[in-house]
Amino acid sequence: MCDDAPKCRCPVPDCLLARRDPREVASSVERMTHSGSADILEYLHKHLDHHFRLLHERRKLLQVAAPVFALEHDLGSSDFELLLAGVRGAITQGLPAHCHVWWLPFVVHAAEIGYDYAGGEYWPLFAQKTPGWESSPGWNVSSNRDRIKRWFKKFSVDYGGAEPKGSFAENFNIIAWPITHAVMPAYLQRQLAKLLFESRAVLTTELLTDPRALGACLASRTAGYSERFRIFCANQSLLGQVAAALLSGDDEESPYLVRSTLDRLVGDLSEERQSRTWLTRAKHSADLARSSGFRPNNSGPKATKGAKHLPALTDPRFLLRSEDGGWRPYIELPDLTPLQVRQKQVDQELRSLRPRVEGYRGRPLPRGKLVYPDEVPLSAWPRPEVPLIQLEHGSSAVNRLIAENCSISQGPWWLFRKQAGGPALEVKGKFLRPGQEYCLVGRAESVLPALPWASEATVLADGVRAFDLKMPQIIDERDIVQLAAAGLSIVSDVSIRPVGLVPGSWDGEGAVEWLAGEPVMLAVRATRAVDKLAVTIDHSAPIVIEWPAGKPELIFALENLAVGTHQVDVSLLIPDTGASLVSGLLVVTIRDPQMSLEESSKGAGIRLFATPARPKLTELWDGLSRLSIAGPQGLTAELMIVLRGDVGEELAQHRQVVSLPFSDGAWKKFADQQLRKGKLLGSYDEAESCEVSVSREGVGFASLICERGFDPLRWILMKRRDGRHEARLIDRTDRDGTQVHLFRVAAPLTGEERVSRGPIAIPESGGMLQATSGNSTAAIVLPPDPNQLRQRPNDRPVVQCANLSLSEVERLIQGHRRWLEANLPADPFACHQQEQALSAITSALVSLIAGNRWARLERKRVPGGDRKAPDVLDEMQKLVGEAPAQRAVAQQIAGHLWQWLDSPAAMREGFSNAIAPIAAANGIDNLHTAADFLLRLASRPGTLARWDKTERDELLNCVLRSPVLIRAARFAVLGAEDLRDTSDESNAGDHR
Amino acid sequence: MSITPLSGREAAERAVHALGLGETTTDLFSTEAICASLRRAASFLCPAAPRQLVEAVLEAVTTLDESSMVSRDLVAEQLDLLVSIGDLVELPHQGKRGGRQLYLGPPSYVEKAPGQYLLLGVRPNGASLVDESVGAKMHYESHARLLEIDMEVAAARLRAVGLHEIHRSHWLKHPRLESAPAVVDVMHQRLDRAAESGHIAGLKIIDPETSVRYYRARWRLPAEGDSGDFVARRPQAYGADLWCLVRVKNGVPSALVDLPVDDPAAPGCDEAWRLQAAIDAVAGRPQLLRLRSDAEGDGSRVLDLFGPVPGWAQRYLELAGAPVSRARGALISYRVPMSAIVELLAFFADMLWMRIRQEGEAA
Repeated sequence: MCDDAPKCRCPVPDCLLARRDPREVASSVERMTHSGSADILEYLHKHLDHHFRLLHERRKLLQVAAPVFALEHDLGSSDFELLLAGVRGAITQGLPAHCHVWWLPFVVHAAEIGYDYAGGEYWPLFAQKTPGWESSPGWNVSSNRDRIKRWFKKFSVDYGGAEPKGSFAENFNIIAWPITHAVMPAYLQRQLAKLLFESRAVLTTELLTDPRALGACLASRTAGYSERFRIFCANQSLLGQVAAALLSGDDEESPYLVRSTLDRLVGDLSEERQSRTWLTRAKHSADLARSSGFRPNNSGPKATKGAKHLPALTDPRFLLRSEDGGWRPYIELPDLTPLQVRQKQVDQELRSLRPRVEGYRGRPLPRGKLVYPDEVPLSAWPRPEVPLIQLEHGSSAVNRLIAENCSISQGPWWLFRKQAGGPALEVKGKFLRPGQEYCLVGRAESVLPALPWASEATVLADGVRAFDLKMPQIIDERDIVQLAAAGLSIVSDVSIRPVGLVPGSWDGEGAVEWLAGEPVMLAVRATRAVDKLAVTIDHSAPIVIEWPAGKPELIFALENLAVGTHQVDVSLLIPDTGASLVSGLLVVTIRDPQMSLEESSKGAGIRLFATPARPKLTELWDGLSRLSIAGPQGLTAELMIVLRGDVGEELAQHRQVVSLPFSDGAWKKFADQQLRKGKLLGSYDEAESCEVSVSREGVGFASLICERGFDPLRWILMKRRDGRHEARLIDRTDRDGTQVHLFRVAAPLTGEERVSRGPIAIPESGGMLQATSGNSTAAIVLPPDPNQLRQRPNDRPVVQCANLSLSEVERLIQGHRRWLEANLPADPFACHQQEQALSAITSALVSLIAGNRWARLERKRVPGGDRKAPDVLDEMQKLVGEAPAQRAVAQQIAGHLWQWLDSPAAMREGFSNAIAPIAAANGIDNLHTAADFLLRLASRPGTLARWDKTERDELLNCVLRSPVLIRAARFAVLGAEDLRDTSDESNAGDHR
Repeated sequence: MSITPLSGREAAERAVHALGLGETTTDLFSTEAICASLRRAASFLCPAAPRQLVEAVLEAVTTLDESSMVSRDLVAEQLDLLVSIGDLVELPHQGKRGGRQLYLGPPSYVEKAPGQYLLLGVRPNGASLVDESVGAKMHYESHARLLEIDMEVAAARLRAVGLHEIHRSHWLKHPRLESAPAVVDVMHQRLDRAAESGHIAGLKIIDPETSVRYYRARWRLPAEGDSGDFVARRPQAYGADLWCLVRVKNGVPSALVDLPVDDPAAPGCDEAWRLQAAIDAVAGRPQLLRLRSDAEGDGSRVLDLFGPVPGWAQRYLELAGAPVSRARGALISYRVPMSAIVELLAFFADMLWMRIRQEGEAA
């Protein structure tokens, strides 16, 4: 009960009214009795106004002003009950106009619902917690949603309230407000705790006092997290503010969140053991950083005259392995994720593009390969002037960043230290130590001075030669001079190396790595009498340490080194004089322990790879992403697929024993046979995620979670009792104007409008449904009735075209794209229907440009019923063109078709050669680009929709002026297709 | 950033602390710390050859080891134990290079007794196997790691930190019972069918004539007078030395069979050590298991083994007993409760044809 219940007559404990003047309370309560909710709202509004205004003033005074959140209302439980009653009462009454004045309680209420939001649909939850929201008299849901948004905007203006940002805010322009003002919806809190824990090693006082920088740093580390969490983290300032508050000391007020809200977040986070542990450990690291005043050396190692270039954190390791009678160079693919902080597309491009490695002959590595740590053998020595790693079709910004931050050391000599049982590791400092063995690699033209202990060795890479160096214990002075001329130094009087804790990496001479937070302990050994040791870190002022009397070795620890590379110089000082006797150098790299994108370590017995990496559920199902499993040859393992629903519940699973290794070809076969069958098929459309795991007891296990993705619009297909399908749209946008169009297979470019709410019946012949709301679109290919397909085998799509023009061609390209990018359900017949539509649009587009005779050939080529498509290869060749140059082009294409059957790359290359004689005359200057463009136009025109518009228009104009170009391209595409079919039939015949 | 001079002892204490061991209860040169250092080295270097891991540990700790307690043999023996129980796994190399290397064992656990769990496996990049969220502290006992936790919540908590359960039945899986002569016969038959081996660089054999009480001394190069079938090892460029069976005629190898033959996922040493036990038994010099009373006087007994045993026998020991400091001359020692001793002795006598000797009994 309220402390002063007789005065305020309010039956709720800790009521606001109890804290006020009794006379005022009496009068207020009297008024409340008469006007009900309005009075409650008025009182709460005034209280909240005062509270938020104060908060806003305080936040304005911060070095970087921080926003206020509606969740920071600071109301006790009883006051909140009162607020709920007031809001509900007003809603039940239809939200009368006089209540609009007291709007702050509504903002708080909406933010509270945002806190409970679990990633599904917001408004049903709102309606559930606010009876009458959807059914009050004279009610207009849409306008009231807008009203709530307006109030949040007003909150932003009047009280410095947070403003939603990022793509989430663009797509969900109403609900983004209450969700942003919920600070951190409960369902994302576990992931935030994990992120803070995994980032604990990089926390510094500077980050902890700068929420924006902290937010940017944390956001760059979310690649392996769920899409919904990444969406939240896209609002970096919000993320930084929440994180800074959560990491604040136990006894201190956070300037970024009021105590009650912070306690609430911490309390909810701590309900789960692991979240509590993560948060506790992250806070402990933050406390340490604060108490030690740990600051990174922002400027990094200062460049001084004569200082050596320090390797970057993202430089690869370079090594040699003895195999096939020689030394084979290998590059250990580096973890490039630290670059994400500097360029936000890095993660997306690393995941989805094919990397080329300089010196690696052959096709680019599979898409996403850089996400998995691995070694790549080189057959040619990398050329220093060429970037070591580049992404095929990568953005220039990302490729430039990779080129600048990922390179091997400069030549002309590279030194590798041999080690027992392992590969020879590069000694980046190029130091040689007496008594050790090395392999020295130099450019082919380099000349090694005559050294009695050097012998030429075989290196299995072009462009270089190698020498085995077996260093004697005593090295001649003349040899030292000769080595120095080649940039190599001998070190003998001093050694500096790691002790105590096995380091993350150690090349044996000059470069060592530890993980952030680990003790960096080094031992310096001197062969002569020494008085003191001077240690210099990153060219800062030297620190002098007394050498322990009578000991050959001195041990010291470096504390609080920031993540990055550091140069540690040591100088042994001569007794009495203090002069430097001899010096040594060590490059210390402190690595962020959690920056690896994937858990799939190369040391694991079983590894699961995806190409591209981290695929979405739809990519996996549609065959756009493939998996492979590495493991010991000859062993079997259990592969398990589990489909899960919205809250992680299991919908269906499939287990199968597979032989290792399991190639991506084997996956394709598995996917074709299993993903579209039985329980998996039935649950796919409902599923929100899929977990793929592979395990064998005692050998290893690996798993991968593929999410469907958080889309504003999503189609779900359901099977009705009569066996037919119907579609339902999940519309998470806040807008009312979502438009839905049905495209039938028979007329694939003609959209028929449908109502977006409620189930939509699917035509017997299938089709495609497209929903559009603002910038958001969702399309799905609809499964046909298989019986209908069997009964009407001659049905073919009809594509109506207007007169030939650039805009008409553009329309066809966009129409093709619509079908091409539509999601495919787990139904083989839907795939067939999609192919029918795509093929008809492509044929119509080619016919429109290529002329009547070619159009007739296109029609003739279509099979009908049981009739096979006629052989039109010769006719196609003739129709390409009549001029001698055009005939030569056709001849050239015809002569190479068989080479292009299974290689799109060979076709692109060959076709560009074939059209070379007519290219210039037809306005084409870049043959390779034109070849790629024309072949796409003649086979998959929808893929040109994302082509640069200016270039696309230029090339289309060329084609419109010279239709021979599209006829040639179509001949190449269809010719190869026909030959492939013939070859397949003949193979099938052989097997029979 | 600061620089702190350290004594060797202080550096060792910091290292012990960083390895997650209590610095007051164990030092950097104890078997617990050596095993922790090996696991850490493996977490960065695997797939790797055993030599790489041994060298990495020696390089880090020997400078601080003023009493020279840590030898290469000691570290190598501990590494063998880690492979035997499954912290690391020896597997065929997954690339084109062939051979066998050590990989990280998957993070797992096996129930030793209700509420008591043996933790296995190594996470990459020095990450700890479990964190505080499991609500129990990990105990280190020689090469083994144990967790005592309420059995009601154990499975859920261990699963939550990413550990997979290995069922006891699977963990204790072992070859079928056979007589020693039958096992030796199979070896002869395999070598009869093997192709000519030619010269084998670096080959070492176990001399069956030597004492079964000192395993390390049993290894030597083939000598001119050697003829017969032997358990042997041969080096490979990168990776574990390969275990093999070799037929030698007058000191020259004539036939060779690489191990493992029966299970590619098992380390070659499992088959080799079982076979050597059979060879010794057939030769009338069976390997020895010594039983003595426990100083703690709780009725349990201590069992000493003088040579390594296959992984499946090692795993049986892990479940039945607990590793203790080894007795002088022994390779490994375990404390075993009285309730388990009869069954355990029968297992070793049946499966490895061992002779059981009570403390004080004449050799």
